Amino acid sequence: MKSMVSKRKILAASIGFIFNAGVFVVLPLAFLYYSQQSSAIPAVLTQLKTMVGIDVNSIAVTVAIAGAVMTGASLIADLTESRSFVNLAAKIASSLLGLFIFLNLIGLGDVASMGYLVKTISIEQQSVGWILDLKFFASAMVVIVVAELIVSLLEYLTSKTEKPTE
Amino acid sequence: MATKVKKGLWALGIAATVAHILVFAAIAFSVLTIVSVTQTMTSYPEELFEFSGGRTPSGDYNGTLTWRIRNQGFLDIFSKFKVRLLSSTGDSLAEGSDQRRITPGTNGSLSVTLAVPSSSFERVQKAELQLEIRTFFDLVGFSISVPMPLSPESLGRG
Repeated sequence: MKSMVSKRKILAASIGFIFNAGVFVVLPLAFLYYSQQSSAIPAVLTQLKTMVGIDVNSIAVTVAIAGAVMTGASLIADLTESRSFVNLAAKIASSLLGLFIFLNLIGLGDVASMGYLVKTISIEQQSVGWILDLKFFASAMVVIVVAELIVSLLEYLTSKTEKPTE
Repeated sequence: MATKVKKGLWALGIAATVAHILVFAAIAFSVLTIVSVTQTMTSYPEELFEFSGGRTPSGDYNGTLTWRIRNQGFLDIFSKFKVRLLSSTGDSLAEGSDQRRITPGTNGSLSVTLAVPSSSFERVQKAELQLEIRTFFDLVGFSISVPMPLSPESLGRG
C-alpha cells in the first residue's frame, strides 16, 4: 500500500512536471527559436520593440527562466511530504513564480503595471496613446495566489500536528 | 477533527485550481473579443469614421463624427467615443461623447456632434479622438487616444 501511494505521487508529480515544463519552458523557448529562424517575425518584433516598447523576446526569456524554477519547485512540492518545510517553501516559490509569470504576460513584460498598461506609439510624428486594462484579472490572480499560500501554510501546520501514519 | 480540516483544505485547493481555470478562460474570451474588434477597425479603415459638417449661415461650425464599430468577438462590448477640438495651446474649445453597448456579431455606430461658435472657430487647431472598448462585464478594457492636426481646408476655412 505504501509503495502504491508513492507510485501515485510520482505519477502525479511527473504529469505536473511535463505540463509545467511544456507550457512554461519549452513553449517560450520554441517561440524564441522559431522567431529567430523565421524571416518575417524578427521584423515584427523589432517594430513592436521600437514603436511600442514591447520586447517579446525578453518576455519569452523571462517566462522560460521563471518557468524552469517554478517547474523545479513544483516537482519538489509534489514529491515531498506536506509536513516538511521544504514542501512549504517549494509550494510558496511555485505559487509566487506562477503569479510573476502571469503578471509578466498580461503586463506585456511590465510586471509592475499590475495589468494596467499605458503605452505610447509614435505614428507619423504623432503620439498615439493606448491603455490595456486587465487589472481585474491581475487582482483576481493575486487573491487566488494569496488563498493558495494560506492553504499551503495551513496544510503544513496541520500536517505538523498530526502523528506520522507511515 | 484533523480529517475535517484536511478535507476543507483539499476543497480550498480544488477551488483555487478551478478559479485559475476560470480566470484563464475569462482572459482568453476578453482578449480575443478586444483583438477581434480592433482587428476589424484596422481591416476597414475607410469605413471606420464618417464626417459631415460645415459652417452655418451665422458663421458657427457644426460637425458630426461617427465611429462605426463591429463586434465580431465572443462577449458584449461597451464602447465609448469622445471627441475634443483643441486650440494650439491645448484649450478645449468643444467636446462631446457617445457610448453604446454592442452585442457579439452586430455592428454599431457612435456619433458625436460638436458645435463651435464663430468666435472660437478660428482657434481650432487640432482634434483628439478617444476610443474605448470595455468587455467582460466592463471590467476589462482597451482605449486609444489619437491626436489629429486639422488643416484650415479640413475645417472649411481655407
